[in-house]
Amino acid sequence: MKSVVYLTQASDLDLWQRSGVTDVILAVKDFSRSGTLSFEEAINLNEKATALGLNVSFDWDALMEEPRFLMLSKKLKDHFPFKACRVRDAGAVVWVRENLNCDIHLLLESGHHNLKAIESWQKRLGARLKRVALSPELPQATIKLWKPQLGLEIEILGLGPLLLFHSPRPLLSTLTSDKKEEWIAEGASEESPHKGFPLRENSHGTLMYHPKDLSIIERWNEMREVGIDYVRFDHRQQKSHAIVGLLATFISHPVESTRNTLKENWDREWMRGYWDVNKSDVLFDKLKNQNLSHSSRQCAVVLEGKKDSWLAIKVTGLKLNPQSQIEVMNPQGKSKTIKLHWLKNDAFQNVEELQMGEIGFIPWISGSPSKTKISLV
Amino acid sequence: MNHFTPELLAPAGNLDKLKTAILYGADAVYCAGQDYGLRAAADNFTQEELAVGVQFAHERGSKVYVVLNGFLHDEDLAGLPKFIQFLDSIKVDAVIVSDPGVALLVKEHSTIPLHVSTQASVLNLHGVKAWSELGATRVVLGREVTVHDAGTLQRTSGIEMEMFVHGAMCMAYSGHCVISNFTQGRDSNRGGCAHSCRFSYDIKFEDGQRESSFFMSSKDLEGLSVLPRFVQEGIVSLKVEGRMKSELYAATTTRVYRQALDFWKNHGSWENAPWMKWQEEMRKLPHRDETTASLIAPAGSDSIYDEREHVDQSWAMAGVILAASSERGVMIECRHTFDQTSQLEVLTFKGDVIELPVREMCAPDFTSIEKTKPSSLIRFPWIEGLAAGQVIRLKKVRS
Repeated sequence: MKSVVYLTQASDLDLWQRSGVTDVILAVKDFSRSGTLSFEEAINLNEKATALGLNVSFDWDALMEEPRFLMLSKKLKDHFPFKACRVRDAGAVVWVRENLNCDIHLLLESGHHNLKAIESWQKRLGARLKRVALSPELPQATIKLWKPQLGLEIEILGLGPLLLFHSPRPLLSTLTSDKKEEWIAEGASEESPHKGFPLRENSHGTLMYHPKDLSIIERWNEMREVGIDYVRFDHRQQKSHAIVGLLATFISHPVESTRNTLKENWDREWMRGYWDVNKSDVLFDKLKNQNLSHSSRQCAVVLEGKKDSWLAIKVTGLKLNPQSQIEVMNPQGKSKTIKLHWLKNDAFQNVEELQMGEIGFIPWISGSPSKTKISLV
Repeated sequence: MNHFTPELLAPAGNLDKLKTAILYGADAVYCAGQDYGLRAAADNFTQEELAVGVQFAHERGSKVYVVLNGFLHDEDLAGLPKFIQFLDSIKVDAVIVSDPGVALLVKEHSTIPLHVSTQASVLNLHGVKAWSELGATRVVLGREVTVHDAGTLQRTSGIEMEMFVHGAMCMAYSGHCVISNFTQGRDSNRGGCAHSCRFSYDIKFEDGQRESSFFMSSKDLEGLSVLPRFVQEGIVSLKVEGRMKSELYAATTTRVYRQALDFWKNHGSWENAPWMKWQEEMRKLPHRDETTASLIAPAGSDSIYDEREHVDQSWAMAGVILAASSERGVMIECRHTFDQTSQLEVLTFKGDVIELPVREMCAPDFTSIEKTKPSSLIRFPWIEGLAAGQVIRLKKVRS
């Protein structure tokens, strides 16, 4: 398992190389949402890192509307000396395929939670696609299942900020009169207990991160077992640059003691996210009353009732007749079965049948308020 | 002479709303089955309802697009091929996807045209190309794209462009917000969005400055005033947001945008267009403050709705007409309380609204009543112009 870090200054190069880091990412302001480098600085760092035998990838994770895309992509076409390009936007992927000769590292951290989605890119990018950076929403079991089928290098975020929200709109600068390139703040939602969301606004818009950083590095052996090829470390939001030394020590000796030291000195608490399991869809059933959901046997729904007299219904499925045996289920889930003995149309006249879409009346059934479902037995 | 007019695409959260939108003039509606969409809390459609809805739409010359726009996990895909084949069998007019894996499955298992959801945040020409490689014939562009740029993308790519024209908006790039996923355990990209962006946040800046703000809450999109630009750029389809909203919303938005688009279609000019009248109609719906967002230029700080959610409602939905004929009179399903002092208006499918005097109101069994209750049925005498499916609104009296 190899380590990938963000190279932010030349003075870190020796440290990274000595620690055993094999890959460095260069994040340029115009192309990367959290980029700090100019394009020229990146070219310079690329030369130095390559000379030390490091693999360098250029980070293009920003989303761009057409005018900006056109303007900035020209810059890359003129000169792109990097070994690989890390791309998120589908348009950027296609552009890189058509205009550059570098390896492609796909940033699949938004969606791509099924193998088929990744296959769609494999088919189109062929051998140019070398690596996929997978979503932090994927549990380890899924990655383990995919690994032998993918035939690609797999990268995950091992330690770093977890981006929750990205808007192109300027949401922080509007709250202050300060003029600067980047606004940094912390947000506390009134939805307790969520506090301490790191916030940033720069030329790419406004970004909000999870109050805790994602860390899988406590599961180092599990990562290896499931087939992770590259573990990414993102130290860039740490206040003290001294963290680089501790991170390098951990990378060179990924054991409990170096990890604990790193954790003690890391600015934010750590969390594992969905590494063990992802059950983010299990609450959906509770978002609406399942007793109201339509069933294939359902033939009508109660609109209103008059006690001891009638129920007004709307026929929504199979037709009803005066002899129908029906089951009613109210919104609380209570059901009962009865046999009809009369049926009236919307003019309150006896009829032999009500068709789909028609309004009609049946005898009163207690405990059957509006929205009660009626099914044929 | 008819002039190019964009398709009016309306939301259909359930079968009743589908019928409402179509009766009020939608060229097409979009809706979801019980799974695979982004509105887990919406009623959505059973397969039987989808079949009925498609038939209802096609009989009236309208189209039905079914959303399959969740970011799906492997286990979600198990039943998808069968559902796709079902959609093909009932002849839906397109499916709307945002996940490349879902796009591949649609192509493998059907001949249904493929539209790309705004959830995929397609923002540029190469993004359009990426999806056309997967067989997409239409792209619902990211809401960050201007109408002008959308026109250029459409002309350059040869792919149809669809844009949101009205309704609530995500502040984030669509598909790039996972707040609910990591704070509520609800996958926003599979239908579980908890709307955390609508809450107030205390913001503390590096220098210690503190502000309390609904800074992530967006104003609602208002594209009525931008219609001439959409038309000028030849944008193929204009989409109204709001599958979770009421039939009053479906009726009002569809009716007003239909009238505006028909005005253009019939005149080929916006001269003397009754903009004020259309805007006044739209103001009768509950809404947040409005913005044109990025339709004209990239949205700025004035697009933030820095307020707690509240309903500023001068009119409410009074009910919907279930049946109407000169012989049997009118039957109304009430959604609100009203009595003889109330001011009611019926939104006709075409033409002006009809004032509905509240008199001779009676219960379904013809017993006289003075006041309605929500979820009750009432009978009214027949009035020329009333028809089943029409929505009735009630002027709210401020206490």
